[in-house]
Amino acid sequence: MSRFAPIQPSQSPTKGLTDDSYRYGFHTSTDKYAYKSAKGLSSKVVENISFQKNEPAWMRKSRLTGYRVFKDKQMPSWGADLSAIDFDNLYYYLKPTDKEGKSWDDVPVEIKNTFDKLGIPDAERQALAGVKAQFDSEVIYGSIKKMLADKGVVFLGMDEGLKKYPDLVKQYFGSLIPAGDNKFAALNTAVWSGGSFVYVPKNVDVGLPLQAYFRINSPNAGQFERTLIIADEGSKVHYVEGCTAPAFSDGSLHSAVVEIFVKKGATVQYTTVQNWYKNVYNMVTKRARVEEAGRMVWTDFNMGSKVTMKYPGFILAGKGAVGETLSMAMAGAGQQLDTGSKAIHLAPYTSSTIISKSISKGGGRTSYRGMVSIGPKAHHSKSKVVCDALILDPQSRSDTYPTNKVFNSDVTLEHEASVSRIGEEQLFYLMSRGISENEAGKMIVQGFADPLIKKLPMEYAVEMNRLIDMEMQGSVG
Amino acid sequence: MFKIDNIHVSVDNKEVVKGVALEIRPGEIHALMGPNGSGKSSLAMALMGHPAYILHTPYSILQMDGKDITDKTPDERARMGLFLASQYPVGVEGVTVEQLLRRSVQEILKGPALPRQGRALSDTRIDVLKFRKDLEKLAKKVGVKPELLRRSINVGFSGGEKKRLEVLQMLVLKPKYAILDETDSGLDVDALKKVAEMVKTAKWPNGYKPGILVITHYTRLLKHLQPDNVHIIKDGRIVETGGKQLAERIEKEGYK
Repeated sequence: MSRFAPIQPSQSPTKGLTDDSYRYGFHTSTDKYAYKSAKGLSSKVVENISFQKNEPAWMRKSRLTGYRVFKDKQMPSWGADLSAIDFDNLYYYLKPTDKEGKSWDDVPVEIKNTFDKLGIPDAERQALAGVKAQFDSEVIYGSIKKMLADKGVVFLGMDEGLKKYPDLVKQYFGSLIPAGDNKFAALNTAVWSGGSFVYVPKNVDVGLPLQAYFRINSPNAGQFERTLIIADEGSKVHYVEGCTAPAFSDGSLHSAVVEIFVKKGATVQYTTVQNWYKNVYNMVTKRARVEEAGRMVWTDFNMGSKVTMKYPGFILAGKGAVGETLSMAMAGAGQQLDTGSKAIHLAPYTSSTIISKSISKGGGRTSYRGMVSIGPKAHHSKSKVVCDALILDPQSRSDTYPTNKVFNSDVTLEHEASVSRIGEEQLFYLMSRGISENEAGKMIVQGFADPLIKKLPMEYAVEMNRLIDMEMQGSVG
Repeated sequence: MFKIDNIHVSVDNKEVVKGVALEIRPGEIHALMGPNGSGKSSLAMALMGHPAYILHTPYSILQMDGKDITDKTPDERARMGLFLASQYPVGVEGVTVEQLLRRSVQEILKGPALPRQGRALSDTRIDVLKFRKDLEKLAKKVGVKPELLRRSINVGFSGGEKKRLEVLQMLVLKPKYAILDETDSGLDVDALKKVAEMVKTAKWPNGYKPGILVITHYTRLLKHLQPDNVHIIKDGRIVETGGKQLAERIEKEGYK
């Protein structure tokens, strides 16, 4: 009950996280999968995926290696409790239709309905540059503007990318995040499907952001997309992914791998706005390799999911390379969001900035987990880490786990951390100006998140504010 | 009339205000003076409805223009026309002064009709550009730099800036009754004079003059304000009430 309203009839418990509050919690029946793998994972399932996709032998081999590593690797011993993930009870591959839809008319009606419910077609077809929408495991609808083609920019589904640019994919695939990196990267290597392949030629500025919309739409459907972005020398690109998932009672697993190569003098920004349903395990490995004078920016917004473990990183491999991570996480009841970033400085005059903000409420838990490593050759490098946590009630929790490894004395390293509780004093101050307790709580949370939200493209910023608004419904007090 | 009668307030189960009575009419300025720990600020917090300052019911009487407000939340009291200039204004990161005030005005317009409003109750729309212009004009009068209006409220503001801002908020929200809790502390001589002038001449566009309760333990503000009613509070009780001569005597002799 509200602390500011001592006399009130009894209220029902906070409903903020129940099913009906989840705007995207609908489910379209899709029995029209062209191919659906059996539940569970075996080398046969893995081979079958490769066969279905008609892949080259090296990819089949890579998948099988991934599967072996996955079987051998232990689950991470730190972070969230992952014991509820039942790898034998998941579908690893779903293929909704035989062909990739070339135009909107080719897209099956049911799938269109799902997009309609998400409000995608109007917003994204008209206003945005290149739309890549992922429906389950295949890219079934995509449109690439002529402009991209004219500039020589390649923006394809990963499967198509492999078919059309096999040499390029072979050269880079798994070279930054090998199967052995971690158990979930290994799993992705074995069963990956979908994701994007982007190549930006030398000195090309893509201009408009490339957008992909991901969506899980089947009970127990793991989504294992694989994205590879290569930004050639002097080029510039902003890639945006937004994620939503509908309501299912069983645990769902999302385990993506994103590899980005930022060549000399290139700039890549990768933005994620995610709102998984609250039973999804979200285990994502993202890494960029940044060459001389290149620049990588991760903007990572994490809402929803039961568990998220995600630490986008960059290897600053060339002189003067710059890496930046801006991340925000919001955890409510039953949620644990363990997020952060990894900055590896290998070359001189490199700099990294990590800004992390988290909000926990209703017993939710957020953690910042980060690593800054400055190697012996990285003289004159600097790193700055700022993490701010906002805790809305005494049941919620936030932790910070920073690791710094410095092998060069000629560097600057800063770390600032702050934890604030939404104070009674802040609420009282705003309320004494005529603003209701609930609205005051929202204002405080949005004010906290605002500096990061400003970095998003407009339509995502609007969506993000709406999500926060929804999550904050009746949650203060 | 803002009627306070037999007010008892407890903080952490300790009674800090022990039966205070005051009657403040529109246009009147009352000064409440007292040494540190005499219960002045606790009274102010309880009047605004801070949940940590517990008003003893049912015998504490708190009425605005005949309406009992003891059960009202702080936002409800604000919408009814009560204002508190905070002794320690709180910072809110990411919420600008202008945003907060625009929101406040909108909320207050939703409240019951007040004599200060020269517009229809249902009309809660705000012309953003006009609001900004009016706000900047008022800010200039109070000595609040316009760039502060676009910064997060009270974050990194100096003590003086915060206090001027509290006065600015009062002028924007146009309350029926205002409590100024040690608004003078942190102000330099010139600012003090200016703020006193603004408070003394406070009058809303429709001619309404708010009733004001000024809480202080210095007499310097009162020199400029010249209040007709001065109350001395000690150990949670009003021990003496008088005119401006009382304030002068306190300055010479102290609270004793």
